[in-house]
Amino acid sequence: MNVRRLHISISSPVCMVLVCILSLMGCSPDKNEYKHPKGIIYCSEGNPASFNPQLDTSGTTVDVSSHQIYDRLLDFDLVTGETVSGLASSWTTSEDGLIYTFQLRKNVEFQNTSYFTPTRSFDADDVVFSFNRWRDKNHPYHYVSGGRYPYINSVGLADLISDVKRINRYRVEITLVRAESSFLSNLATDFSIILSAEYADQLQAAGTPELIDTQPIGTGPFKFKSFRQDRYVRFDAHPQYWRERSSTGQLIFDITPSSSLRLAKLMTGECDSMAFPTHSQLDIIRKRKELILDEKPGLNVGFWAFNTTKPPFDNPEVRKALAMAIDKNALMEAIYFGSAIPAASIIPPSSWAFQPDSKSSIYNPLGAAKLLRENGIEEGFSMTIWAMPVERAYNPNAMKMAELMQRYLRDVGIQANIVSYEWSTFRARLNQGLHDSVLIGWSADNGDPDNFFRPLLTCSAIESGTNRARWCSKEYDTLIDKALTYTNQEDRAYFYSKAIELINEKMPLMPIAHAFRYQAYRDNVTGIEINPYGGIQFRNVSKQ
Amino acid sequence: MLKIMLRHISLLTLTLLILSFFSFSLAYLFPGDPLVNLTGIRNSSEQGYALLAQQYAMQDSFISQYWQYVNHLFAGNWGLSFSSGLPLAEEISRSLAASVELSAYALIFSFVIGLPLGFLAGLRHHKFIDFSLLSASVIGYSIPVFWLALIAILIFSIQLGWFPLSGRISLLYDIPYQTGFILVDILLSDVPDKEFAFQDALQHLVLPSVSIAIVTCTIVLRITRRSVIEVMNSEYIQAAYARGLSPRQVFFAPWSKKRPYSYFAVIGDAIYYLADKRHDSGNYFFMAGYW
Repeated sequence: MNVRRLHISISSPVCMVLVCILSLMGCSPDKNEYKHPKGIIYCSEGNPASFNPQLDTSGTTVDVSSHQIYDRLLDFDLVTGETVSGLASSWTTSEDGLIYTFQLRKNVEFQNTSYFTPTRSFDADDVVFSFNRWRDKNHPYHYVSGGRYPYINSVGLADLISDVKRINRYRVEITLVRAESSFLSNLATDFSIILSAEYADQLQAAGTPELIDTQPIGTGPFKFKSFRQDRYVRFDAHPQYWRERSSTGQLIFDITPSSSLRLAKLMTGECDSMAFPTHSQLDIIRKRKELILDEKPGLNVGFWAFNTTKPPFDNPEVRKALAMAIDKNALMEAIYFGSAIPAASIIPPSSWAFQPDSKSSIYNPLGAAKLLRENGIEEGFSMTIWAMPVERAYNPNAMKMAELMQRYLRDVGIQANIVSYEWSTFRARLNQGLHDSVLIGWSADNGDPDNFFRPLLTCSAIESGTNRARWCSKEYDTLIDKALTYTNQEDRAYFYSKAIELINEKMPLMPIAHAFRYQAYRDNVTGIEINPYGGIQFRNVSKQ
Repeated sequence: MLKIMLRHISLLTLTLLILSFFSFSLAYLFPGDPLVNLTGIRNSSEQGYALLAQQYAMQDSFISQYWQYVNHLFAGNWGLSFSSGLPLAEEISRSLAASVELSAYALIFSFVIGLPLGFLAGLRHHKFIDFSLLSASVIGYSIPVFWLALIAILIFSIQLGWFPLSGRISLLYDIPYQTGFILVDILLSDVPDKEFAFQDALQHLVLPSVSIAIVTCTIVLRITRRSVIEVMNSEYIQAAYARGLSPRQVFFAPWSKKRPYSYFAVIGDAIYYLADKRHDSGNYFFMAGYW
């Protein structure tokens, strides 16, 4: 009895505690009741190597820097893929296609940050500086941060340009060694960004030129604030940005390498958008009504390349027979979970050089077996399929794909062995040409079809390590070079259709699939668009 | 007394010596360049590497290398973290502050909840409420904290969306690092809308501190219960009742304060447990980007 009354006296703190906990819980569901500072949080997949896409082609670096901090002379129209004006308001080409004159936009302000205060707006000096940095080996900034400009070197842009000249404050003239119609497209890629010459001079005077790539200054919509490895990259809005924009708050990259954690953060609203949802997550995202999943065919191709320098794969008939033995449509479901379309050529449908009526190979195991026997490949012939060890959109699971193909090849009497190494070893051995065949692919860096034809199959690409078939055809090279001498799309498309025909006839590689690209975000976010030509853009992203 | 202290100090020195020697040898036992393993500096230039090698006496004998290593340790130069590339000392101080903060809240939670419940159970000794609290505490004590953390995330963050699942505060708030205690840092900072930042940080704190507190709470509850039962059964309490004092008088009488016979021991126990278990769950929340 006594004890019971005592209980009443001490039960009040218990109640208080419970009330406290409940009230703490109760305040949380209505997130909108109190307002956070304005801003977009993007869950990205990794740390950028630097904040200068000239130095690195990895998507992580490009996403974080290219369209947030910087602008280019030209941009791609995301819908049509045409080059449109950026920092250059207009441009003219000389008759012979060798001299390009760019008229620059006036009153474009550089970002004002804690470490740099610009005294002048953007002008021709900045263009000359940005180009000469990668072009001119004697430029004081050329070897700052390593002196490697991977994209620019891979397309040979530095050798193509013979001079970059300032005509007046708002006019720049670029002279080429030879006419090349992909030149303007290359200026619109994520890698042809414009740096601040004034900032560079200031850094050099201070003796810290390498800061130009880690504490970046550009004319883009966001200015860099801070970066903590494995945690975040913070940006503030650049208030004097020259273009129209809808994002006015901060931009934060929440660095989250695990894709399941990115999805979890997207679900709880800790991120407004996430990078690279995996194929198995797509259905989960589609089912949640507060999440939106956009998909778009990507500018990529996954393929099976034969080592054409190794007999019997030097024989086009054998290559064609092997391609006929594989059922591409079955691979679509098993490997891509329906998030890709079967490829008829190396060119994806979103490119203007796409040929709707081109036919690559048709599944025909009987025909394949017959063709193999005719060309001296007996039952029990053994070959290797190299399967790349990493996950890419164009081939999310090369190992599993190789296993499926192993079964198809067994049906035509071929014993296939699967080979895989750690990724850098894998590429090193591929470059030595040790493979019989390899499952690999390509993602384009710009909207120009030359970006597929040249690196994948021309003779010179064997050396630079992107021509995995090691196929060298003078006829093909001539077609690809000739296409570039015309500026009219129709004329170029003619040569490209010839090139596609030639590939189908010789089958140095079997195109397998063009994978979709995905963007997942919450339903209160608007303005996120998939950029098929490169990195993500946040200029027009806003949140209700 | 002096003898005991001397013994402990020499034991500590010996332990640290062996430990540092072992951690130094790890640089050789791990794959890769020992110098890189020691300093955490990768991809240094040739001159930089040579300078480092000199600093760490890499060309000398193993013993003098070890001596250099110990010197660096005492100078506070612990090398760079492989995972973040930041100085290790700074990394540790940051995450230590976060750990201490989390443990402190968990401790407060467990006392605020565990003490009254322990009293309740002790006073209602061998009644229904006692048994149910006791069994609940046994269950609470047996649940692995990392598992509890996972379940809590699954239910309260992902399903119900009540609490955020990662970080100490929404990234939209840029709170400058001062003390390492997020709530203190918010108060010291000059961000606008401080109260929203504070509320946001509290929300981030709830899940990890509660899931750790559940276990320490059961410890507090059981020890409190035991001591209450002991005191209630002691003769002087019985005598007090026999003299007709009301329960309230007995409870709040100065001499009955004898009862918290070893709260220091309880706190010690709980802190020990927190230091130990926070590691588990903290790791889990950390993997989830929590702390």
